[in-house]
Amino acid sequence: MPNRSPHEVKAGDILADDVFNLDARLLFPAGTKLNEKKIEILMMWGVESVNVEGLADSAESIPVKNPSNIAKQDAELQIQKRFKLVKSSHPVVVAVREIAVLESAKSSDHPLPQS
Amino acid sequence: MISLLNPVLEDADKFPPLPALVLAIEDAVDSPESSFEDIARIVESDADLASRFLALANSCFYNYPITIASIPDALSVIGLRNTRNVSLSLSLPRVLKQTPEFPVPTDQFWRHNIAVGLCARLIALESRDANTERHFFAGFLHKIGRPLIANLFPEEAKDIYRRTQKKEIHYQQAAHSALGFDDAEVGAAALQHWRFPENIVTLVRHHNKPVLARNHLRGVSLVHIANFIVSALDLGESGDRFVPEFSEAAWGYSNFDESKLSTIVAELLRQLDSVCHVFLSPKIESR
Repeated sequence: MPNRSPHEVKAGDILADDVFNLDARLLFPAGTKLNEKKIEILMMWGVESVNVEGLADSAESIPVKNPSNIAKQDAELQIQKRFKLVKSSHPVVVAVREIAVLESAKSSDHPLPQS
Repeated sequence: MISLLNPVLEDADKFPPLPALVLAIEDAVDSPESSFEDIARIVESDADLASRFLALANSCFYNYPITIASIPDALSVIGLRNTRNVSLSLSLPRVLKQTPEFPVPTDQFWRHNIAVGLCARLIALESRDANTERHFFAGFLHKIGRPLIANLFPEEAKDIYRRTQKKEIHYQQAAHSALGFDDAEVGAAALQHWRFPENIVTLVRHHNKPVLARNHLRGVSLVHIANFIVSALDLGESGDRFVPEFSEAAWGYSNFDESKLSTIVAELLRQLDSVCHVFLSPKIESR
């Protein structure tokens, strides 16, 4: 259970222990999968270190949890909201939706001008 | 001239006047006595318009193999038939700006419209259609009714926009319940007033419900599909929070191959910034 600074953890890492802020308020329970937003919250609250699941000597093996998959999950949620009023499940709707998720996930690393 | 659908929109004087330069180009293009050089001279008389014409002719929109350095050459690439529509379209982002009644940032609003125009044209190009520019103009102009509603019906416009942002509803439905007609109808009436070709007016009027179009069904469908794709990709900002409904019938009319969608999106994203630059940059340097 390596102990890491929030600057060292990656999207996809899973918290091995509960994480509290300086006021002893629970920020995230053990088992939480981190994403960019959650890592930002850890930094924002000044958390110095967290325990994440994984092998002690496996800093290189952790990226198995592919950050692009995490970005894709976030994008899925975002696109799901935007497609709320689309009733058709035509194959073209499915295809366009998949392309939109992919492009949104790609651009989350390099955001386009806010729209 | 086709008739306007709603009597409220028949008072065409309500629509904003076009810049004198655009009217001069229109007169020259319409006049049988005007030569190619006459039209080029009018475009050249305005440095900003001239540099935008050159930038457009040199952009990946036309993908012309050699650099265009003069206005007559730019007009040859763009085509006289499109010169009037280009000059008018270039002026519209400056005529119709952001207002409190339709508070979508001007650049983002036109970025959405340019993306829809590019997407419709790319589908048409991929299908080897003739005169693909009309699809670009139709896409570019398809939501022009929204800032116009803000100008013509400011009180209702505020409510329409508020409802679109707060409720699970599309802008055109909110507009229809407040006014009795929607933004596509207002846009089509304005384009008719500004003497855009009938096919472009029809493409704008029916893009939300392609099945209602009597003519140009395929063109109307391409704008509908392009609007769906661009809204899904969240390019620019249209005033809607939700992706519009998809017409399966429109997809049928488009006669387009689903497997080419990724190629179209890749090309759209490649072209978008350079075409937005031509239409939206406060000042541009031509190559």
